[in-house]
Amino acid sequence: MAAVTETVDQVQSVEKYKYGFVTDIEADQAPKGLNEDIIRFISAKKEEPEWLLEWRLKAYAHWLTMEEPDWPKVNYPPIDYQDSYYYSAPKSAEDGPDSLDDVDPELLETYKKLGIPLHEQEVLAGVKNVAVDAVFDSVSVATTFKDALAKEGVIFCPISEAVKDHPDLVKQYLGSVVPYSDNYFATLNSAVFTDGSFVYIPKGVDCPMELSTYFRINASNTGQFERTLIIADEGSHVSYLEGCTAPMRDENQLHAAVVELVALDDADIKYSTVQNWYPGDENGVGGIYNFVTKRAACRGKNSKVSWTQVETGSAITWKYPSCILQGDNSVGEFYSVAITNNYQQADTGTKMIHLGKNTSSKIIAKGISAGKSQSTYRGLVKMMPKAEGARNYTQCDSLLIGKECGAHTVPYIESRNKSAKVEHEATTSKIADDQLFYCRQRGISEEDAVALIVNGFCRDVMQELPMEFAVEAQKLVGISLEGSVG
Amino acid sequence: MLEIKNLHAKVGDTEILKGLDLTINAGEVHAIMGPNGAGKSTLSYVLSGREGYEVTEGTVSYQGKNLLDMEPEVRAGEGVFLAFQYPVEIPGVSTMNFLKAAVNSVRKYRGESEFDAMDFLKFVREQTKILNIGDDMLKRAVNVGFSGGEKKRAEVLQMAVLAPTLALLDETDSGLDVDALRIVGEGVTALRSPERSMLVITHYQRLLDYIVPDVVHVLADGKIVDTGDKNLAIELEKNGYANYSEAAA
Amino acid sequence: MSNLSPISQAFVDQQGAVAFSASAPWLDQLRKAGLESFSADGLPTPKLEDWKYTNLNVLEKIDAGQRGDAAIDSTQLTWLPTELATHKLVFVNGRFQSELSAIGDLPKGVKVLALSEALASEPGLVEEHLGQIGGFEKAPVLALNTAFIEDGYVVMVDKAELATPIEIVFVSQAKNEAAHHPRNLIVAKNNARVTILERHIGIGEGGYLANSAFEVLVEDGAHVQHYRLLEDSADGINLSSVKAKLGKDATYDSFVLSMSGQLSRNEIHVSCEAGGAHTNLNGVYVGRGDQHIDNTTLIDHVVPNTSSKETYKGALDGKSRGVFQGAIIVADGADGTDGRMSNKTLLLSDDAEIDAKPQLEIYADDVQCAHGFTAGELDENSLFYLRSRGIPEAIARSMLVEGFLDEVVEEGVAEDYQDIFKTRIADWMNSG
Repeated sequence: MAAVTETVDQVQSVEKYKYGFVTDIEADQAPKGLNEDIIRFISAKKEEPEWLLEWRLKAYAHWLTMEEPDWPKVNYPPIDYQDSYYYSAPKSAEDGPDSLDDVDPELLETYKKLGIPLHEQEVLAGVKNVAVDAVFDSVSVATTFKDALAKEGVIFCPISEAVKDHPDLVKQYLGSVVPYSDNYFATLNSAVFTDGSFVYIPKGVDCPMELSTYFRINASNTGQFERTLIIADEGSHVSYLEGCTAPMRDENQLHAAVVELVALDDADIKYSTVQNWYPGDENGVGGIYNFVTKRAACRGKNSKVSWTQVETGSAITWKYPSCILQGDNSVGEFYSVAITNNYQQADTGTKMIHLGKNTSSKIIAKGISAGKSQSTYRGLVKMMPKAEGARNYTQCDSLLIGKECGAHTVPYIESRNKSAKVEHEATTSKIADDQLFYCRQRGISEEDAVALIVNGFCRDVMQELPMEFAVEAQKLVGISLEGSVG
Repeated sequence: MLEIKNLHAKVGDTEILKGLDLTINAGEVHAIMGPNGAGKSTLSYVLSGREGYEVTEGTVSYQGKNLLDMEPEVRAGEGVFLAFQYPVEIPGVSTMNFLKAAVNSVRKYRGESEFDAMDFLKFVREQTKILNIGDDMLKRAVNVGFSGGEKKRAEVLQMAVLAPTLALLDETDSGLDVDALRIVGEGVTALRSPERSMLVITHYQRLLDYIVPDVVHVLADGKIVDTGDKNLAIELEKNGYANYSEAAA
Repeated sequence: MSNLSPISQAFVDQQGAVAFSASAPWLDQLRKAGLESFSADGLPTPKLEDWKYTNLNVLEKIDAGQRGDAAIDSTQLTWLPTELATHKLVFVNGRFQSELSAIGDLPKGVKVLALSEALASEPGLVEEHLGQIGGFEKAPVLALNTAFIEDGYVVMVDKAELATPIEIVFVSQAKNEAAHHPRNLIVAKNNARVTILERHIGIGEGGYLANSAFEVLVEDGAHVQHYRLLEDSADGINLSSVKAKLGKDATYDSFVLSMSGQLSRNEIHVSCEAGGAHTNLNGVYVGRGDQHIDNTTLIDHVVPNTSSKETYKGALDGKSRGVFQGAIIVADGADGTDGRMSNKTLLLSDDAEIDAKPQLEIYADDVQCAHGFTAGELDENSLFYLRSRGIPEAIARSMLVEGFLDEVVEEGVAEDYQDIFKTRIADWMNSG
């Protein structure tokens, strides 16, 4: 019971969306709207080489020919893409901070509120061994532990910096997993992305610490379009964490990120996300539209990519972290918890495309819907003709809390190889009355009992998270479900 | 009868059997005992021809023929029978239908006439009576929803109707209570005959109270490391396998 | 209408050329409504989510405008054990053939007849029920059927238990007629019991489209068992749409064995609209060559305390392609729903393919819903077990495949009729 009590305490100790403050920082913004000039402006601000500007313009031209997708099971009023800022940078950080001392103190205060230790001393003094890249609105403001990582040859920096310092790597891999023409939001991102993290792990290197990026949308009416690129060279290993928050605002803000992962022979990448963008209030006003494209190419033999996500935030989530299993014996995993409450909508899942021999994938998806929310698991498992001996196992469970929410499961399964084995199971149910009664009879309040049971329901996924995130994620489960019973 | 010489076998890249020698004459009952992971089940699968078990060295001859060259069903026709440690469930195929297909396949292989439905029913009923197996069990799908005891009784029934000359019993006692053990043990003992050899693979001595062996071998780390009479089994029960494991290591 | 594909336009033109009797203006209205709906978008294309995996462009080889009559040799129609008594109706190219049929005596409360006759003898009853279940929205194939309503079977059972099954044979004869659209009506009320054994066959060479539609109304404790065997000829295309509506404590059992034809799409929508309604949807599909077999089902749990159980299994050989799309929808407030769905496919060759979309859409919280899916080869353990008992590999394989498929027959078909379908499955295995 000790652990249980602890969980309950944690749940109780955290108030409602605590990240909903606004930081008052002078920002350098591009004018509202989207056109070629804005893209040239962003590119110029970033001092980008010509090829990248060309690539952005190509993406923009393509985007103009595309239509916004309507197949996800989400509803939102049409987005006016001209009514948003595509570039917003904290002014003092315009020239890029040389050290943390140059970072705007207000900003540091922000990250402190978020619980992100940016000061290396603080980090070193503490137990955490995590290198952090913080992205504020569109710009990476600080990256810690660069030197320690450099010793191992690990590159961890803002992608804008990587464009300048490691142009060959960026040119080789950018858009190689998610091409600029991939889908409406990814194409938009390709045209206007502002910053994000870049990671390169050299051959045979076991990255000595967790790498982490915290994303924060601060300015109002600002879209955030970050782009993350992680390359794990042969035989290397890396674990990467991503966290996101935004202030409470009553307009909707667009977040359209792209994440590309490349794993070469024998490499593995573990990518964990705790997504806690502002979900809007209990009446469904405000909140982030989280339209994200995340994809991994398991290019090498025996490579492995594992996605773990805990999605509690955003008004609308639309994301399918996927794996293209190209290399023989490569492995893809997807562990997901998606919690929706109030008027939130989530349409999330994964795609596992099996191309190579003996590739295997595992999908564990847990959806929890409360309030008036709608949660959909949407996934594709595809066994191509050459995927001899491939395996997939999928388990997708939905839990409903309350009478007005919905939980949906839409898996697509396509198998073209007889030796490939696909297994899929899905269930939908509510929290069992006897479980709830049992907890309450033992003195636990109904709301805490729900959090407790939901955490148990999510356990298979939660235990995949790195320790630092697991505790935070557990608390989030409790907070996200506040007001869902009684 | 059965003559195994210097048998090496691997599963994937792991060598499990590392030079096993064993000879069983007609009518003899041998027991193979050994610690977990010694290669007991591997031996039974190699002898019955399961895919994935690769023989890298050595020979197995049975009644003068090279057993290793034969498909599983040919071995069954030749008289090799494996009672599985975990009998496989086959949904949708009734036990009766399965038995008839097996018996007639084997009879055909042996140049005997195949049973028609009526004769077969009579033939099976003689055996089911002895093993306390009801008609109801014959109607159900093979091993589906059977209790541990029912599964093992069904294995013995198959052994009875297929009339093998070499029966391999792989951990037949696992998952059985005392009563079930007795029924199975007596069922097997009733099937002892001068033409029929048996190889009883077991971790515990208790099954050997019911099926008394002529020879007992100890298998450790892929080799026979000791051979004796039934008293060796009793000794092992007392002292465990520690000595052998060390010797093998 | 200008942007219709040539084949869709051909259907529209053909309908326009057919003169219908003015005796039933309501029926002409219904046909017109179907035609209008079909004319809007024409035949479905894979751009529509529901048709993602099935492309009807094979219809281009069919001459939609051709019509005619045919004679048939009755010996080709036998498919049931001779000792089984039935009330038999035979349709050739969608039209009732009284000389090939033998309806026999019917107990009180039971009506079994052709739609063309019912329109004359029971116009009120037909008008009351025909075209009442389900709209044409997202159902272009049903709309097409409706535009061509002409004949089909009508079964109405009220307060009666019909012990003798009704036998239906739909014959498609390609040489004489390229497309036909049988429209059928099944109504069971007040604890009625009825079993329908239905066979679709193609005779002769050449392609055709058999596009049948069924409206099934089961009310107040009635129980309908609807078992179908689809045996179309090699170039035949079989589309069918079942719309079933279940009332209080009503049960609709559907079993479909799809085993031939170039392309088949068998669509079943069941709506459970009163407490205690229950449906069992079961099916077996076997394919080889370049056959395409699509089973698409949708079960709507509209009110509290209804249940459904669904199992489809298939074995695909050659270059055949199977499609399974199953949806369970639980409406807001439909507490106490129990919905189970399972789809399993054996791929027997390197070129066979299965595409599946088992879907749950749930808007109520007090529910138990689940689906399962598997695809792969025969289980190696089972195969080894059989071979270790002396059974040759080829026989062991067919025993396992038949066992795998027969399970659905045992689950979905009343005991008296299981052998009809098991024999068909065994024949299919042996003919490979």
